[in-house]
Amino acid sequence: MNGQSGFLNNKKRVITHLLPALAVTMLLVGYGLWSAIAQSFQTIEGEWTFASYVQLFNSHTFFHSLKLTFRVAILSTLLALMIGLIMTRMLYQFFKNSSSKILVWIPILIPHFVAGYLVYLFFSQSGLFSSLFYQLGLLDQRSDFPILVQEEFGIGMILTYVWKEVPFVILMLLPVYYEIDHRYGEVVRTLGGNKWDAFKTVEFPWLLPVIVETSVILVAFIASAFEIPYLLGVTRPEMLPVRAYEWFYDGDWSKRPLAFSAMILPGVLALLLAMLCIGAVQQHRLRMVKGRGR
Amino acid sequence: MNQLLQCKNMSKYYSKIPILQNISFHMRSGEHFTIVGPSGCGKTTLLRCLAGLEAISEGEICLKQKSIVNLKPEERSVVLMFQDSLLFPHLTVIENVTYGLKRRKWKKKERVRKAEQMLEKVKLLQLKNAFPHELSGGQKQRVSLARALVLKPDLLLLDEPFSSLDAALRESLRGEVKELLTEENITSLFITHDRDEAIEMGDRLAVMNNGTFIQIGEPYEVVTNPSSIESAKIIGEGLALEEGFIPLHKVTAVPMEQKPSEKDYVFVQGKVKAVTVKNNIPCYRVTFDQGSILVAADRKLEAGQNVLLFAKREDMKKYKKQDEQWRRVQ
Amino acid sequence: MRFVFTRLGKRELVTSLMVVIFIAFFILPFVVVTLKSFSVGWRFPELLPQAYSLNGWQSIFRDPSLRESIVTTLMVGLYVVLLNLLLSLPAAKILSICSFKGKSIIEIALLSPILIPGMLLAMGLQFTMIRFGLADQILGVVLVHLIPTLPYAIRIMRAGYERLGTSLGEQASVLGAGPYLRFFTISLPLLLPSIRSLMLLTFVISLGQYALTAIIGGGNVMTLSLLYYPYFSSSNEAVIAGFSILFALLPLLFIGGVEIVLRLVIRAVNRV
Repeated sequence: MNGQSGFLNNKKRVITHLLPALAVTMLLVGYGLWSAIAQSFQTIEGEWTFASYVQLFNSHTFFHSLKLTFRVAILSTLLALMIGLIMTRMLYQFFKNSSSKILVWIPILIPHFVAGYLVYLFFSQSGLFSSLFYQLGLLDQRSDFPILVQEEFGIGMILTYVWKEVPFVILMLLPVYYEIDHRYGEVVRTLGGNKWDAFKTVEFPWLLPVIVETSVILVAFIASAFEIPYLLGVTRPEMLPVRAYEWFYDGDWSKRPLAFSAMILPGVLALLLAMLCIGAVQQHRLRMVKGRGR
Repeated sequence: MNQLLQCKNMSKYYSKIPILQNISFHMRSGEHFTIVGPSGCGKTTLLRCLAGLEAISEGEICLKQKSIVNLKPEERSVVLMFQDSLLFPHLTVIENVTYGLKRRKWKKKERVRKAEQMLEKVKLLQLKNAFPHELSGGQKQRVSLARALVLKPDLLLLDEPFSSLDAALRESLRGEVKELLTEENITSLFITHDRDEAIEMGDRLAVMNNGTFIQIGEPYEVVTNPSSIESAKIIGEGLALEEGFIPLHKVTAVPMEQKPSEKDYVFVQGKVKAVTVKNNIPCYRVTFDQGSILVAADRKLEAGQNVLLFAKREDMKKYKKQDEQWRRVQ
Repeated sequence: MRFVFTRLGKRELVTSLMVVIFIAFFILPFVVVTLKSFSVGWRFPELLPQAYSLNGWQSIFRDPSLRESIVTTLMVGLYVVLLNLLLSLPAAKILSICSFKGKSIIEIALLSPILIPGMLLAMGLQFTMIRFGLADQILGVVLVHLIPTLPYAIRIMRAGYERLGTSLGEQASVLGAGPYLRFFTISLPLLLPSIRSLMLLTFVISLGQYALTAIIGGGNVMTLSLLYYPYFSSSNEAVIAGFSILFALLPLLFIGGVEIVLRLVIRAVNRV
């Protein structure tokens, strides 16, 4: 049985069901993207020019910002994935009943900037950890506490993203863990493999596509998100989305092309990264899907 | 003409691959018809076409002399009972049974009364407020049957409803279901790959292979007198050979040394694979190049022994010619 | 035997330790923030508040712009959730049960907003939206909020439909239920967990949009997120804490209300 019914699988039905979602998406994404690209190549008077890109490529601050943006995005993603994977592995039995799964949903409930506030509350120099260390006698004054929030490396932002995305990673990985037939792990163990072998041959192949998908989503999201850097970032170097937002709202509209190109470049970079990753696992994914069918 | 269902030259293709080819048959009102065939022969597709879940590519289906080809499944007075019970997991037993009645706009009192009657008949009234996950496999199938029967459909289609149950339960439920179908005067079309089930459940029986019917007839007739070697292999109880069919009770196995004369006897070389007991008689599972068969023997044989399966030449029935067979069917 | 017992014990110990860590990291901060919202002048280097009062919450609810903003936020969220449901349910159903030419391209197109920066799209759309009169009002904001939500909505519903399968719907149809009845009596109740996740996630994402709301709303659609930033630089820390808690409470309030409505609908269609 291939799951298709004759009366379901007619063209008209496919079109009427898919069209609304597709039309809305294409209108927002297709038109928005086209318009953004066009405006990045135009001056305010409507002349076509590469000026904004030339200006960006000649600017040191832009490259500093680009570096910072991707450092924050990639570091946060890697950390969130690692912690999320370890937690999922250890807790998937615990999360099996739906009432304990609510625990994972709680951090998801709040917007990113509230998570940013939490990080500020705990990790700033006058924050609760600073207070704790002071009370323990490890600090003499608050300025002895390292600057973790609103500094150049983006530690505060990374902490926020990790805190916010670990539950997301867990929610993405949990269904995979329930889908894995854990008897395969026992097969590996009886065939003489150790725990690591079992993870490598049983869990990892199943996890890989979802891990890649999740990391692509996270990198793309963090590299282009405005809310956290606006709250926890510094002006020099500045995260690109904040830079772009400020250019966009700069008094006269002369900096708008810069705003567009400053968002397009990281977008293209993230997209290339995504395509590379997805392309690399595509073959593997097809194999897994076919293997599942058998 | 009290023909309830007529199917004429039905065909079904999936992207040009034929699944059903030129199927024609009819059913009388109140009749129990079974279709037997190996898995993948198209039986399930045939039922889905009759229920309206799949469109047919060619041909005609008439129910009570009216074409139903263009009706949606919910508009046909045909109910399909699936292989799995498919009880709605979020509804109680009684809510499941009244589901169809509610869709027919029965009054609440009426539908509850009717559903309770039907549950009484399948002996599950005490479980009417239970949820499906609290029932055993056999109980689920009985609720599923009650849910179908309570609608009094013109035609009930059953898609191997017992195949997920264990052997003992299957046999007891078979009799119960046939009794209930007859009592409710329901016309039923039953498909199975189990030949015992097919013979027991049907007033008439069709043998299906590769998307088409190869024989239709009374169960006894079909079993003892298959019309072709394929049919013989699927349903025939006996030795299916290229040149003809020998009913089982005429076949015996003897050790290799006692070769009888070729003029009066037909024989095939085989090997005893296992020894078993059936109906209190020792029997031998003998494999030969065309398949395997369970036969009795005059003397004791042992596993691994090479034997001859043989029968009198006059006991062999020749397969009927195709056209002769189809004349009988129509 | 002893070996087995100690091993099992160790494993359970590790799991419970992990649960404790999870709760300490992800749940405890909420308790601290709640405490903070009721505190008075809880500053460095105190580890616990010295005094408690309702002042923070009072000044939050006395702010008329905030009360208005809660209504706006809930409206935007409700429309975003409803539009997501309307658009994703049919699309996800088709994607889960049918295979056809060009399906993978359509899938990529539907998921593309996840990979393309939402802020870039909003900036690109702003000028056109102003021209069509969609900017500076709730409808425009709702539309751009579809960018970061719709792909997730489709993904969640698709997984839901895949788990549901087609057989129960077919069973319902041979029992005489048409497409709409099938949806309300079978799909809706059985897809409820997915629908719940969809509503919660899309509402929360919509709640957390600052840049998109600011660009398209142009300061006329004041959602809570737009108010949060000015509050963040205000000096009364109890107020910021209370405001932060509000962000966690709104989705719960919303989902609670919706859940009641959904259950009533399901009960109404599924009586015996």
